[in-house]
Amino acid sequence: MSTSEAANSAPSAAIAGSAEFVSSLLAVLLALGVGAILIIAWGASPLTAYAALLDGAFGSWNSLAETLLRAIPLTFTGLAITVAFRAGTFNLGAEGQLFLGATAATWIGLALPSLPAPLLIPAMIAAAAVVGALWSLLAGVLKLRFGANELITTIMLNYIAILFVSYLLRGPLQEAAGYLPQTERLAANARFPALIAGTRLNAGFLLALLAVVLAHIAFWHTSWGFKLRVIGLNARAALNAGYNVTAITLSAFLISGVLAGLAGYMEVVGVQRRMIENLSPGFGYTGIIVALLGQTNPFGVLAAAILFAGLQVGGSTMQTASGVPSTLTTIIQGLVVLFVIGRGAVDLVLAHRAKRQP
Amino acid sequence: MSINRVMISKRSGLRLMAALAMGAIAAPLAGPALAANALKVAMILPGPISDNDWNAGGYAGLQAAAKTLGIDVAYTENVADADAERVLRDYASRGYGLIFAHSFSFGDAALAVAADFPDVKFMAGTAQHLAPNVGTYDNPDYQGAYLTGMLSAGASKSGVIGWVGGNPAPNMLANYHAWVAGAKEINPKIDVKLSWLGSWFDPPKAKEAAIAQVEQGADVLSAQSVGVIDAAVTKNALVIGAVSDQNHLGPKAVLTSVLWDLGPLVTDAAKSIINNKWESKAWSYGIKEGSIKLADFHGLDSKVDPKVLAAANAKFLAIKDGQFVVPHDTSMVK
Repeated sequence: MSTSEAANSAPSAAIAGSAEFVSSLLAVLLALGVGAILIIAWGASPLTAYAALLDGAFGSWNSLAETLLRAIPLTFTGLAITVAFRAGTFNLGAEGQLFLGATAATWIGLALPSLPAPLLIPAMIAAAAVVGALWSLLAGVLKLRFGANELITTIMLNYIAILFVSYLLRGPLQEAAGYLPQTERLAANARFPALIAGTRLNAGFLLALLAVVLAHIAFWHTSWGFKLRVIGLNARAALNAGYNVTAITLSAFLISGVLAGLAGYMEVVGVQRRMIENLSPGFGYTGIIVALLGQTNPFGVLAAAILFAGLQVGGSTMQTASGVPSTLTTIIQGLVVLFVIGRGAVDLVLAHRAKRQP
Repeated sequence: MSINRVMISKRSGLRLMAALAMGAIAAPLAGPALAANALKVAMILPGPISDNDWNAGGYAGLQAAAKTLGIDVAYTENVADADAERVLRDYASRGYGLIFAHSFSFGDAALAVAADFPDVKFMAGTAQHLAPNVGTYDNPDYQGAYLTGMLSAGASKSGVIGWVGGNPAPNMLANYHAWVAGAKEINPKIDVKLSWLGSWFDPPKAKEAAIAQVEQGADVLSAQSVGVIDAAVTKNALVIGAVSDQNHLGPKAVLTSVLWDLGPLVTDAAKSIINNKWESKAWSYGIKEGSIKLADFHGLDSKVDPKVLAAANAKFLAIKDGQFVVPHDTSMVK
């Protein structure tokens, strides 16, 4: 999404919003269309494959629960990237913030096992949020104090964070049995209750919905959100308007880190029940395309998170049912990004032609 | 094309969409009630089935059982630890009666899913715990590793050999200890290098670790992870393959491979369910059962001291007859 597009959304949010929705929907449909061609080239029927994909993602209570479960961390990382983007910065460090947040929460959960749930759960959430925020703040300070490009620092900080977590899981935090790089299991009082009995979907999904609503309110119904968006569109103008650009940008880094840290917390208490080395299959990076497809709009992010979660969950069913490799869904995710970005290119070409032939 | 035809195709397209949507809405209601009578077997694997190694072995075993028993099988490859429980749940909720979790690191996930699906049987590869509907199985390749340890010591000129593996899981530790014990039977002063990768499938890292061992003097390697053979080819070292005959990956480097045929075990486990004789236990099919063998030398036996070769052959027969039991040592080494 280009900044000019974002600028268009300011005067008449409703019209621009629907245009953005159409653009995202079109990108998804085009990606599925190209995916269908690839499936035919593979020698399978796109209809069978997509039916299996749909069935695997939403076709039973269990698969629906799994899709929504996977949408939880994607919603949080998508929101994390959205907040940073709205402030005109890029947080590619959600993956590292997620790992550190998850580890911090697990550490608290294991260190205080006798604490009752109403105290333990907030303590774990606070640990994940604070550690995620501090790691993100590091990139923020590097940018604002030294002018270091956060595209580079956040990616580099990912490596440091993930390797540090690997060290912890092989050293001080490793389970007593010592075979695998993982912590002990969290006690039952540290986990979330199930939302659908017999499935893994848990109350964490409600927290994800809450985060979406809060983000929407913060962006569109607070002066902080207004200033944040102004800074994102034109930092110089914001400076001239007397906004404290440094403080607001730092707050965006902090909140982005909090959200990414919470994504890790959700995975630990809701899915793995302990910290493991390969906790995230790239939720921090998929969050970028979730934010992009969701047009950096909190409700759009939620929809995009559920879509990508469905693609990932349904992919393995598609492979079993139709023989089409599940990696095809990864290709479709990539195509969605290309088409979302490519829409801007079409506008450019049209504008160029219009200039040439008045 | 006439307007009519376009209209019809549009309408049928709509109908199709509606049907798909209906299916999505209605399916949850039907769900688990559709459990089939015929046994369906599934396997989830941590890496690609084309790895000529642990995953290829699992896949070949599954297909062998499908052929022998004429049953439906399905598999999912490249399953990350974090995803194991989801994929297991998916198979369990789709009427699969026997599900193989083909990795030590899937044990937890199998136990968690098994608690919610008491009618589905699970086989967790080298898992630590049993449950009424969870059995475990292992790859007792440590029996073969003892023999290749002897051969490695017999082929090494430097007196230094090296072992590269994924994570220090019990089956890997057993393999390592047996390999060292076999080597020490031939050369008590042998120096054994050991590297853990911290990952079950990371070929570049495995290659790096193996090259580092060669640079420390190792001239025979044990490839317990994909990528080691590549290093042996690059560095002109000898290497022991695993699971399938890996000689084609390095015709001048792969001395022999410890073959693992999982087919009989998968077949027998499926049969036990079909015949209602399932019991939760630890399955182990080794040299005695014909599941563990050594591959052909492809002419490289000339690299091994003939006396050692004869001793290794005699040892194989002794294990088969039960006269010699390979020590099963899983103590931790890092």
